[in-house]
Amino acid sequence: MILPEPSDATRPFWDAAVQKRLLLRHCPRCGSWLHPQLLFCGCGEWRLEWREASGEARLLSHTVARRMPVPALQGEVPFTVLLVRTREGPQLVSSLPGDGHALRCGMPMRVAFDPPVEGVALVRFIPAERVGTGDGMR
Amino acid sequence: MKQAAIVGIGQTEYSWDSGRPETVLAIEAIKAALEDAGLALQDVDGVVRSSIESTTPIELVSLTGMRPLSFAADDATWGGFVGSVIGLAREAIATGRARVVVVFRAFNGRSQLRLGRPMPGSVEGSGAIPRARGNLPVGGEFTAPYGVVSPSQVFALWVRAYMERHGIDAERMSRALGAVVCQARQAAQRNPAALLHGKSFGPADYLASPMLAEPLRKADICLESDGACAIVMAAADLARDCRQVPVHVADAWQHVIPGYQNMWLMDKQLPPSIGREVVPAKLARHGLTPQDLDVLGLYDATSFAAIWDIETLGLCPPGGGVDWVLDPEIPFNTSGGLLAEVYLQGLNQAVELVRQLRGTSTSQVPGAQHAFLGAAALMSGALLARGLP
Repeated sequence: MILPEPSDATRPFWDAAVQKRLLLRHCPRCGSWLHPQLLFCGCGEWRLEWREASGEARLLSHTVARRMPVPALQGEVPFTVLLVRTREGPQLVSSLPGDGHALRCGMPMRVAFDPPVEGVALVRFIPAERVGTGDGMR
Repeated sequence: MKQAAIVGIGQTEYSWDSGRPETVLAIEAIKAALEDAGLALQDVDGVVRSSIESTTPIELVSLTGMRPLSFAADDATWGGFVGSVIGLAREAIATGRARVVVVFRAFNGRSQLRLGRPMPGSVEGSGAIPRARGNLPVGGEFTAPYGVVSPSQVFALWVRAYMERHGIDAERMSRALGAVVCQARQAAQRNPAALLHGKSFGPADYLASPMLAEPLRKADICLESDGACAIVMAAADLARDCRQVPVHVADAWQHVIPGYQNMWLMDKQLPPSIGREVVPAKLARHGLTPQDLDVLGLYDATSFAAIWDIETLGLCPPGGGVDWVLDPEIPFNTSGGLLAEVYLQGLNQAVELVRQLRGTSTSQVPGAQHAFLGAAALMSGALLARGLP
């Protein structure tokens, strides 16, 4: 396992994840939604706000990782790496344990949150059709 | 506008552990390239390097006994530098700022900085669970916790998006990727300097290569290797008197597209594309079409990248690259490329294209007149031609 080390700039995102809320950056000047690591908007605004996102997303791409070059993840293969596009626009990398998730690009996904480890909750996305079935994370 | 030509090429031994500092490798490759041209260090008045190079022009001019440089420059496009550095040298020569420009790349990419792993300092920590910090697309705070710890996972995400867009199943993709890898390995068998020379490799070996991130296997990913290479460029009047057949740098360009900062993980459309119209338009200025090219040097950081670049070049319809590589109409990466010769981010491809246009490649394309050199995702490139106009 690898956990994120929040910076001062990104801590609100991870604090919110512990509370099962997905925050993204939002530009008060032009209304754009931005990735949590972006510190200013392309319109020139740098006083960005955090805003809660819908949690809805679509799968842009996916791959099953079967080997890892870092020891901390070698015990977790195979797992599935995801790239999702949130309904608001910003794109996030995430992952699901195991393989065989029957994923297809474009499918609706829904945010989920891991139980906190060392005070950090990883943000997951699971196929929307599996939400509530208890099958999302396998 | 003075025309510029590549008049010298040089390289060190390619190895897994050079045992020498990168600057020492750089000097050896530069000296070899100058000797090849019939020039001396004192003839050099320009040095161009990539921004990811550790050795600076200042070090070189201070250490080697070069005369004062009238042109010293860094490219600014990371691993996508190869067309850019050649372009900078070409423009320095065209405007008269320099007459003899050295372009080099020296990299202990195996024994020192391995790019297939998180950057030093990005994934570490004192506790039981390592922490990922920083905003790098690979090994960063928002990617490493989810397993994006080497470029191979990002490349795999590109490939999957491509496969689903074009309805290409895993078997068909595997056949195409394997074809690219096998042709690179076969080229390496003919090239004694290639790192994977002497290691026979066929389709069965490809299928036995361990899967890293589906559909990419270990064999689909470029080498991590040590070595250096260099080219010497000179103004046309001088080039005519050099030892070798001059290779005209007919054109060189940059086309740096948005999204590179994050390896396009924030972009809706994967894989990243400069657009299929860009390179054909460049070639058209020289009265050429992509089909007129005799040999290609593509940035095969993965086998897939070669397939994608062939589509971006306009050599086949979108989604047709997987078929094109099964029976290539134009030879590409004839030294073994980044997959099987050495990982010098495409400057080794430039060296090989010069050999092709001189007629001295170990996988010689008979009568090669025009060669295309492309950097990562073709974000920079060059058109090379045998002889001066």
